[in-house]
Amino acid sequence: MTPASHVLLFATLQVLLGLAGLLTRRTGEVALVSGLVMLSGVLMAFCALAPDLEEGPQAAGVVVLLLLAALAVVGMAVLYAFHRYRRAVVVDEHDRMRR
Amino acid sequence: MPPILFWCLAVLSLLASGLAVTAGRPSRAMAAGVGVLLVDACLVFGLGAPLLALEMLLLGLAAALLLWALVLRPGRLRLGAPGRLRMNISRLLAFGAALYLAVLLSWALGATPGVQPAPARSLGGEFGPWAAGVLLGGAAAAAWVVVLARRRRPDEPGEAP
Repeated sequence: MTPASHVLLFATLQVLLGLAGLLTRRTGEVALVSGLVMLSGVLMAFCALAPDLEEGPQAAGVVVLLLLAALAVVGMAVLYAFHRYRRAVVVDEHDRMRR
Repeated sequence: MPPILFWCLAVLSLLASGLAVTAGRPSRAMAAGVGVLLVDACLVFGLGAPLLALEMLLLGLAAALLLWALVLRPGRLRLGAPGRLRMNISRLLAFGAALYLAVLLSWALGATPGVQPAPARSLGGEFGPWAAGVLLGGAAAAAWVVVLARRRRPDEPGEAP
């Protein structure tokens, strides 16, 4: 049986990797995938903490999974709309919403 | 799940995560992201959450299919080219799959008359499912509006995009 501390360590590493990608990469698609990697790490953390959760991992994890799917769908839709204006999606250059 | 198997899959997932974060081409980053999702589904299954693992697997397979069809092999779909042999075969197969699923669903609904829905107290109380539905509908509506946002035509007034 895998100890919960191992799963939490793995989840932390995955969240840190995703965070590093989200903060350092300028390409929109890579930033979106980094966010998905972070959410996947959160999902693993939910599984690690399953015995401490009243409802078990599945009910709590479904919420994170729904969030992950919604992020993927909405994020890809936004990126697709950006692609119609410019060929490359560089997130630093998209300040159109502020103006 | 034995710790050695867990760490083998975990290292694989971390490698895929690193590739997703450092990939130069967006298509490779997205393919690596789908790999992360699939490996994590195996990990979740090993940690004793089969339903969640199945959902992750379905999400990962759907993402892999979309990635393959829209990014890696964009010429394969050709949705606007009816009359081709492959298109007609695909249409027949899709109709057969939909019919099969409809028959299966109706049989499953008819065979389980005594099953009661789960109480709504688990997630967000009594209004949890409604709130989740409203949120999901809001996300879908936002995605729809963003996708349909069209580019300004040259003959329209306003600043050039």
